[in-house]
Amino acid sequence: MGIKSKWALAKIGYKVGIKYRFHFIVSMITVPLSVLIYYFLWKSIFSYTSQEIIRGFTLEGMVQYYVLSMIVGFFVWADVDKWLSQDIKGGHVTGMLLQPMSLLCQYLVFEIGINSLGILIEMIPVFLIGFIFFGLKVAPLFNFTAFLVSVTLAFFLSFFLSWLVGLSAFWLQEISGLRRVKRTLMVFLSGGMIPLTFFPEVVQKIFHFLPFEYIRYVPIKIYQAEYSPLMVLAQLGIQLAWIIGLYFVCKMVYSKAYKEFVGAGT
Amino acid sequence: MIKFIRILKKAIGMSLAEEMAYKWNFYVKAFACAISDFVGPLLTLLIYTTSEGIPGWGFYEFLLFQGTLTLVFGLGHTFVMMMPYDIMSSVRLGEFDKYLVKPFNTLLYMLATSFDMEGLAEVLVGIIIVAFSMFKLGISVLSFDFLAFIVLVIAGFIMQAAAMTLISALSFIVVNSDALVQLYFKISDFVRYPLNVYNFGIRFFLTFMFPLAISSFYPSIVLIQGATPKIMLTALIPIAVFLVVSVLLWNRAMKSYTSAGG
Repeated sequence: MGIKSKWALAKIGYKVGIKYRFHFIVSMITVPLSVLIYYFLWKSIFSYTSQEIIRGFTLEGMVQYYVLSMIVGFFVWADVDKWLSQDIKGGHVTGMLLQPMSLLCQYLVFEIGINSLGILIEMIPVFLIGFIFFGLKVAPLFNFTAFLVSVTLAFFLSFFLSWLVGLSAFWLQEISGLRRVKRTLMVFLSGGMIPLTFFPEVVQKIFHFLPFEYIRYVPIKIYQAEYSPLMVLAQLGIQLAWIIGLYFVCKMVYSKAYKEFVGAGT
Repeated sequence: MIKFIRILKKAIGMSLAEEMAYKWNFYVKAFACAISDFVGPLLTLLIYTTSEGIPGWGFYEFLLFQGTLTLVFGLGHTFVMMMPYDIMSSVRLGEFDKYLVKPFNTLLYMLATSFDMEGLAEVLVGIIIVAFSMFKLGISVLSFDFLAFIVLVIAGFIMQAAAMTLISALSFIVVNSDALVQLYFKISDFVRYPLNVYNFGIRFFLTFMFPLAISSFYPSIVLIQGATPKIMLTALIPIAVFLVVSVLLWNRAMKSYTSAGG
């Protein structure tokens, strides 16, 4: 199975993405609204607390944090659990298993196709909005490059976690509830609602041993140039290690799930 | 009205039967609802342990605010939130026409049948948070203010129903309710925090133009600071106006509706 067929599948994903272009356009309006809410919230908290810096963040830094968090969100958006559970319930998975490409690879390429459109349409306007309205700083070239590498790795992390949740559909069929738990926990634990420095020290230490902060918090910190170059490389290394580790877990769970699969619904 | 309740009862029974097809998923879903509703209070805890918090709101006061929000949106989720989705999918499939010929008001029928079981978990969590913070703040249930609170919570629910009616009516024009619902949820994100956080424009918008502040700010402020006629009228009149406008728009949409698909 060569590159060509993978490219074709990615293009299909891209076209599915086009179907949602209306959704993308709406989110271009709604994303600045989210940042606006956080801006007002933190502005009032900062003025009430009468402190310049809360947990390592100035008000400007905080607003930038949320802008970047939205941008990272476009990259790491992975709905593979939804597709997989739909295909299992509808019986489409049987046909996909016959393809001369692993199931994981098919979905991965497809998901990359979808996301690339989202990134193209959404990321640039949000960056611009961030620069113009929310005082987002232009990162040094090294940090910006590292940021792009880091969010790409973050996408794979997020994809594999979603894939694991999706695999549970082989046993459970309907997993909309589980997906909701996943969504909430992923956003919350990766620092999507509040920077992770606001958690107690102990909890922060525990977070270093979980994959979630590498999905959102670490890429943002890389952009905000809070790590030394050596530290940046170390963080990227940890991300990579998580991806490799999760890949093997995925393989293991998949082989179990495959045995469970009965191909109903065809 | 009796007919409405009969249809609602049937819809609840059917929804229960549907959920029981995937029992395990139903329990996880209810649990998931509860978890995501506890994330809010957890966020509050993080904010209040690291800073002075939101101006004018103590920790338990803000918890009460969040509990009210969860309760009102839980009621909306349970009874009306599914309506735009149901209507749009039936319009696309060409099935909407059959609701028009039912011997019952179409809007009320759609409202009655858009019951969603998992919202009940949210209602429960909301009640728990409100009760807990009321206990901590020493607010009595046997007070005039609490009665006013209940009235405003019901008004908040009516606002949810009116908003869903408006979205449904508008989605006949744009034939895409997803985007409208998405926009609605984004606007509703604004009422996650008290009005006094925002500037005048947003406060005005959320009180008089798209009066969603009824879902959290007004009920909790009444409970904390006491109900005055001025607050009650400021909160209630926009809801009444909004409801009338939504229903009028719905009727217009019904008149201009030409069947699709089929």
